[in-house]
Amino acid sequence: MNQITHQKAQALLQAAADRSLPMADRSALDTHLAQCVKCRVYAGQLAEVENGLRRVMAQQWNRRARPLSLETIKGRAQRAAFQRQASATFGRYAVVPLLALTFFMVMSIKTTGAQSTMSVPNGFASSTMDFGFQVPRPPASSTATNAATAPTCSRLSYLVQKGDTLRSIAYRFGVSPETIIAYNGLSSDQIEANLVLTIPLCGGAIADTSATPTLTGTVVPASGGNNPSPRG
Amino acid sequence: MKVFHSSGVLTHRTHVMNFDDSPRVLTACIAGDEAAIERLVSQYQDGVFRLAVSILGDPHEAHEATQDTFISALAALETYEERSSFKAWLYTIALNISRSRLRKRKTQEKLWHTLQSIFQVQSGKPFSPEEAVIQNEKDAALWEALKGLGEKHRITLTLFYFHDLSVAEIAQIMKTNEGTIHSRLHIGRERLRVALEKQPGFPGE
Repeated sequence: MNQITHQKAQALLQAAADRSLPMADRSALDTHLAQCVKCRVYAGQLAEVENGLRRVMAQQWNRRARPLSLETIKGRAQRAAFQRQASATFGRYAVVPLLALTFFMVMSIKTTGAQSTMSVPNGFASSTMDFGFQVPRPPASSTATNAATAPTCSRLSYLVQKGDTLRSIAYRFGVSPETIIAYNGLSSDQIEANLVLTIPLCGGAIADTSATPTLTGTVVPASGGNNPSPRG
Repeated sequence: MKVFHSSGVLTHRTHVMNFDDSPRVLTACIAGDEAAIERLVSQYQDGVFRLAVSILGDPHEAHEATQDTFISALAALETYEERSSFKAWLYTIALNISRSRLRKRKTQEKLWHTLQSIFQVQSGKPFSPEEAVIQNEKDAALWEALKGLGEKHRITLTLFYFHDLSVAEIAQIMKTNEGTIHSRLHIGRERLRVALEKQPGFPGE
């Protein structure tokens, strides 16, 4: 009887999964599996992965093509040829104004953003008109929370649990501790259980705290329904 | 074997791979015999589409990739040499087209995220392909782990387990040798196994 190591046995199991286990090694593997619990478990896990893969992939991708007709293909081929021609002629020049536009937009935000008056509203469509330098100033009452409560942020009330730290909460919601401090008017970064914190959840980017004047002592109410929009 | 509707739309015939892709039919396709071309397309469209959808995830985009595959394949039919199987040759084209689309999409996604963070605009993910919801927790974990694999390993596993291609065929399609494919399968399975080890219900000691 020839003995093989666990490592060898597992390599053979992998080969078997590839349907390329040499006949000669089959009996050695079987003998090993008969004695070795560890490798039997390994074999079971591999089988589970394989079955799972087949199941999941079939579930996700077992679709049929929309029937293709020759006309569709021909039409597409012609369009593609035309587009190639068109983009060879115009494509290069279209990039230049696009870049210029992007540059202009970024610069205009940088310059106005420093004064904390710039908060980009919900979509490009409504904001494109305001990309000049004359962004209307929001009412004075809302300036303090302006950057943190840009209309794209939703808020979440969080009941502080035992063992939570400001950092752990900040990490969990992907905001910076400073944002939470500023937003809730905390005087230190010590927080107690059963305190209700309001967490601003902004899409993608974290609210820029450097633009937020720090609040001292006042608690920003959690309900934001009556917060005037910066556009007024 | 009735393949045509009167409208010229091709009907499906799945899993029939004993298609007569003899030189005669291919020559007819090269010569512009539309009936032959239609037969070729109807024969392989499901396979090509499934390949594209398994790479791209998005049926709509996969449909376009399928069309592009046939356009490229028909244009390049003369260069097909009979050393490789026709299916492997066609799948190579499909894979290349799908992968380049995937790359393009990733670039767009990056650009989009950059723009989003510059303008602090919140919106839904514009490019997320639709996915079937997986109920089974273990399968969901497996699916996530599979998506987390690198492209090389993921695609190799996909070709092997979803498209039921042999190691030799995969090596041909991915333009590498069989040893590499074995090792990619091995590594891919191993990573998924490790990822599942934490899942309850996964066989363990």
